[in-house]
Amino acid sequence: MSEQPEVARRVRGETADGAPVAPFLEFQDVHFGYPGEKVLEGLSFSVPEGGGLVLVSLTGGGKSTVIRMAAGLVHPETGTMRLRGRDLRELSYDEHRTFLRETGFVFQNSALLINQRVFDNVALPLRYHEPGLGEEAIGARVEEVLRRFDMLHKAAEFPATLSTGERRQVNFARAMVMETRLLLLDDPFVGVAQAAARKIAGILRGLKESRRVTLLVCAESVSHLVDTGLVERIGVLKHGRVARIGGVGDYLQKNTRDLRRIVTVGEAEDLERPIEPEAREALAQTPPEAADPEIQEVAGGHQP
Amino acid sequence: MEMVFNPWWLPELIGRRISGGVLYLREVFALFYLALRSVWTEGILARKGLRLVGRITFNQLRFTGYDALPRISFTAFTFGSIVVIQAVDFLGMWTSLEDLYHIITLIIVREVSPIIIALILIGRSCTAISTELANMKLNREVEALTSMGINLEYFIVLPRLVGFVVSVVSLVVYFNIVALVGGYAAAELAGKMPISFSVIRLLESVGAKDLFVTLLKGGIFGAIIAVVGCHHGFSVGISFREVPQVTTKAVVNAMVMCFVVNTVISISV
Repeated sequence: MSEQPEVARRVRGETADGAPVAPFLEFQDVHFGYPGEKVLEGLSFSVPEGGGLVLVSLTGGGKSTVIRMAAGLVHPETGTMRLRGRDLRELSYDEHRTFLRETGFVFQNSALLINQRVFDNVALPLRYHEPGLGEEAIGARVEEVLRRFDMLHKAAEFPATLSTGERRQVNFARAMVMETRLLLLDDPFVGVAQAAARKIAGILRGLKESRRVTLLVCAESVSHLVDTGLVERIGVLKHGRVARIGGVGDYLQKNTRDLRRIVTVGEAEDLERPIEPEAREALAQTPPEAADPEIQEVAGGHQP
Repeated sequence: MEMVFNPWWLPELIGRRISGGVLYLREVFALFYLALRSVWTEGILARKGLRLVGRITFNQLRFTGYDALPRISFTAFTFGSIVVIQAVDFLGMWTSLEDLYHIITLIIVREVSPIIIALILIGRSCTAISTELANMKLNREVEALTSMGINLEYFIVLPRLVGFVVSVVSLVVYFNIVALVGGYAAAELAGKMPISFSVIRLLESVGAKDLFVTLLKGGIFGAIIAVVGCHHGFSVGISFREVPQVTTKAVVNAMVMCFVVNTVISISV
């Protein structure tokens, strides 16, 4: 129970004495598109250090773009992305590389190197970034992380021989083999068996609590993320912006049925439904200072 | 709709082609420069993945250099045989033996061996690089490497660049020896060789300048093939249908650049 105020503080992005801290990762009024297609139109959100946010949307809603942008793989046309209060574009080459080194990335298609064995795929970041580490130490670390994801028996295999779920587990192992500070997950549990997904979510939660790893997840189905308490906040990505954002628990408690269905059943189609009239009315009648910060409809794509 | 004749279409077309060519060369040179710079920034200063990059370079040397030896040996032997036999047959009665040695070494060592090696490796390895990198990019492997903070010029381009330069230079030297010695042996077996013709003198007639030109060409051709192959591999967009297109472009552009460089060096040195 003592964890609750801490979680709430994290959600609000405050320190123990209530002072606001610069979020670990912040998007502000970000616009981005591909030729003939607008993907992000005024996207704004933030994730405090050690916090977890899941952005839920339909297929083609810009989830992968958000994740890739958070890693600096694509850059916004307009708007700013900040890392601990600093504009990502202001980071020097070395600073950006350090940021990437501390960032674990789980791709929608796993993106393993197909001509390298599972072991070598997971060992790659260590072999590249830790020149002082001998092969024995690297082997021990890789075995440990593979064992954690029940993939040690597949260490000598090539990715092509693995199932979708197994490839995803190897991708998780590779993302966590370094001292990760930020985890960017793009639809992380697609194709992963229920039991394995729950186990992975449990591992992630342990990591988040022990190392204060910050988590940004984009997904269609978020049941495992919510069930295991992996994320504290949920945002709805719609029309290229965060349409609604709030604490997961509050959404469930307040019975805002459209979002509850999304988080429990994973039916992203419900996003198209308007927010329930009763909830809207209750929000409208609440004075701004007393309004629950955990459940607000975000006007114009800006986070309150 | 009324068609309007543009009297400037030809100059405009030429202008577009020239500016496109300049931009292309700039991109290729930029990739070459970044790969070389990464030796300092990643390798020497940060000591990133030295064993890893070393292993990739070794593999590239094996694929491009060692594995190509049987084909190169056969090509060198047949080509050397033809040049030596024809030279002895047609020029033997008109020129002195010294001139004959020089003509043979000029043709084989300075002019033909680097370009033949380049053409074989363009067909064999430039296509492999370009296809491999294009597929890696489409499978998001390149993006995965970037997301791990891995420098692509250091991890992907540099090992191929070093592997190609060392391979082409070594293969050129090997080709020259096999072509000269093999050519002599073939002519001897065919009974075309004058008694006074000496293979030792033939090898001795290869001067320092010939050696410099052949090695210079080999080194530059190796760099061109590697960087052009990588550049086109990375240039693939979003579809697997583009893979053969970028590979074809890599082959044609690498060949054209090698021919141009060959001509420039031959004329100027």
